[in-house]
Amino acid sequence: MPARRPPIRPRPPAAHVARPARRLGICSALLILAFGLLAARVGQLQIANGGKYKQLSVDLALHTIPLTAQRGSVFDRNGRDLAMSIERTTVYADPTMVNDPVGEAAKLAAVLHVKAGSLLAALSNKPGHPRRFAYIAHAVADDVALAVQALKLPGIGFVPESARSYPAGSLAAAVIGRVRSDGPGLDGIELQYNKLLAGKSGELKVEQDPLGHDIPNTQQTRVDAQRGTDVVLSIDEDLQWQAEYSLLDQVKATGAKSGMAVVVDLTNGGVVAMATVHGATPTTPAQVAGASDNNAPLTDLFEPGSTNKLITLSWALERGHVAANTPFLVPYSIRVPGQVNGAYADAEPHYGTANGIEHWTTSDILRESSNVGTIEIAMKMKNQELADGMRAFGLGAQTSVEWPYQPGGLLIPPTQYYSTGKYSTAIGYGVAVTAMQMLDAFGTIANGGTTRPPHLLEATIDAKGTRRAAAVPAGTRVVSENTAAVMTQMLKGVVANGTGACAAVPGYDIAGKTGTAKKALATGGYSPAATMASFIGFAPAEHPRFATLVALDENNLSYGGEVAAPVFSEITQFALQQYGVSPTDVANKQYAAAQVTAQAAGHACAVPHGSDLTAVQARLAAQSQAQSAAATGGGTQPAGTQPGAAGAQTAGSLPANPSKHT
Amino acid sequence: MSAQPSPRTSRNPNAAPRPGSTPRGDGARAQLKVAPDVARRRLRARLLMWAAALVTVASLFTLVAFHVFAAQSAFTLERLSKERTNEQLRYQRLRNDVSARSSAQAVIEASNKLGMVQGPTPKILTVAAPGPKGNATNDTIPAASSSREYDQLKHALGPTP
Repeated sequence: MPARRPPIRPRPPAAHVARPARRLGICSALLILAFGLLAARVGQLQIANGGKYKQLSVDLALHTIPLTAQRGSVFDRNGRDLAMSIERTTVYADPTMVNDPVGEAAKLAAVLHVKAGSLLAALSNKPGHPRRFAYIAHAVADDVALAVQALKLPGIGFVPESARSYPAGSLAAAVIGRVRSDGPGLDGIELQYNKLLAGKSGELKVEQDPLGHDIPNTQQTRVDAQRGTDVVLSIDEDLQWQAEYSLLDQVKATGAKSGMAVVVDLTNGGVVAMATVHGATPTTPAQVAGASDNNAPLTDLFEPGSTNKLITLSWALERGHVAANTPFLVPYSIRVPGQVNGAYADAEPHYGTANGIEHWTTSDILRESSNVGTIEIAMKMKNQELADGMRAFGLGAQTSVEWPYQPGGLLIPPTQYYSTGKYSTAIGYGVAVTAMQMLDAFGTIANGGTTRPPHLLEATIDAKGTRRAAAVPAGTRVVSENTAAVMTQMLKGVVANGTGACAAVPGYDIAGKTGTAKKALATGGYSPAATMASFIGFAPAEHPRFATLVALDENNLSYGGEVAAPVFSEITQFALQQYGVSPTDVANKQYAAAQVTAQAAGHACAVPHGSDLTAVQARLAAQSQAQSAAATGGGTQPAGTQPGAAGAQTAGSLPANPSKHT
Repeated sequence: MSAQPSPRTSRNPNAAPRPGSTPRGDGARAQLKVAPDVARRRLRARLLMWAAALVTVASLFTLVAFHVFAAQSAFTLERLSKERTNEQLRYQRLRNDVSARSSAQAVIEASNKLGMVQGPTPKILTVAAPGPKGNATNDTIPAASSSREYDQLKHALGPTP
């Protein structure tokens, strides 16, 4: 039997009919609306403005740390370090994370040994100008860096940075120069080759949390810094030291205001030593020039005096006006055409000659460094001709050595000569040169009449270790080989029997010339006592290896042959032996002759060192005291001075009595 | 899935229609097929499920293992990088130290401390070049002088001067 369904009872009518489907629909709609709004907002944040917010987030977390490129090294010609960079730690601050600037400044100051006030500015942010990076200390020592790390100060970070080190100390400091604390070169080679040495900076972008910790597994962008190129100089560390040592002791011994020495390797024109020494002052002792001082041989101008006679005589020989044995009648003094005041004169009267007139050849004139004789030779040349000779030897133009702010010197055009202009120029007055220019001129004669352009940069070594030799300009012919050979013979005579006897080196033939130029006064005319004493020469004379210049400014002994030549001898002897140059005068003919000449002139011919130097300095001090006492007491002029010898000269005129020993 | 018979119909194909149900026509009955063995189907499904699970777990494990390995390698790389940096720093400092100690100034200072002094002017000794007959050439070197100097100095020379 099929089951019967119970009858459906009609429900009583309700006041409010519930409609769940409608309620469900409304709720669903609300939910959809809510989620729709959320989705729209998410869409707005992520899609419409996603880039902006992403950038904001990155800006908040991402820190950019500059990576300083390691600066290239500076080597001497034998690969020894003259300047190098060592990685040290630089301390920096993120001022936005520093909670207590005053407290942190105090703690840091105690470790870094600086004033807290100077750190406070770096640790604090000005309102409205938030910074995320400020240097606290550059390139601190390792122990200092560890001490700062131990403080665990918030907002203080560390970054490796390259710092400059000069392992050879103050050696060649004026040549190498110095760098600023943040890298760029300021002086010398560091400035000249800054672009090569500096390299290329990089940067590290890293995300950090608000406490300054790196967030792991986040994006890090690192652009590595590119190391700078190494620079190989032609300087020889040992020879540089010898040049500084000899020059410094001679400056001390002679009480000179300053001194300079340059040695050039004539095989390739490389400058193997370049020294500058400052004399003692009331507050400081004599010392080798520092990194911030001028490299005098390339920057300081002076009147060369008698060393310039090399150019005058070479040009006269080259143009056929004279030969080495051309005879001249040389009086003690001479007044040139158009000269109104004074007269040109040799340093000393021509003793033992009839009427004071010497019968000298061209060679004798150079050997005796006769001003009058040189003027007689210059008379055979036109103004323009002599000026051409000066320019041909490189005067009036920068040398080939690459150096910042190198002057080209002063060479008055012949059209602007006074009546005495040509003759003044012929004996080295009225012309301003650098030491390097004069040495370059002697190098030309040593090189057989062709210039040997000097240089300091030998090669570069890039970050990959590839060495590239620096381009050296080719030499140009200035005078013939014959002229150069004749001049060399004449210059040998200067050392053997002339004013340069103290330059002789045992075992070697030396060719060179002395110079003692009276110094021009700012008020006009020339100083009666202050001189620039110099000696320039090359060795061995027949097969030259080194050309050397030594100059001392305002020394007590005055003559270049007496003060500069011994330094030349000492430096050159060291150089020849250091480089194993075979002796060329084993019989010591020139040396023996020079000894006799020097003895006759009463020259000691030695650079005092050690105890000898102490004795000389004591003697100088005693003399100085005696002179002071005499001056105070209205006594006579101290011995050795020549009052009024040149004081009567007018501006632009020559000293009446330039030394014979010039 | 829709092409397969429903489990209800496949359970007992000969069962009578349930009371109250609408009898089907011959066309509907003709579509019914014999289902494969249930046990085998269940086994296959289970195997497939296990295989999928295994593959999933293995994949996850491989992924995690790879990640761990990569992380470890990253740490190793970082450590090696630090070591390299430290060694470079050490090299630089040692080089600086060697350069400073071997500089001319340092050598002179050290020799002064030891009481060493510069020797007198060195004696230049040049051995004469042999001439055609083994004699010194007179134009370059005075043989007598050289021989005399050599005799004076030879006792101070090594075995092969």
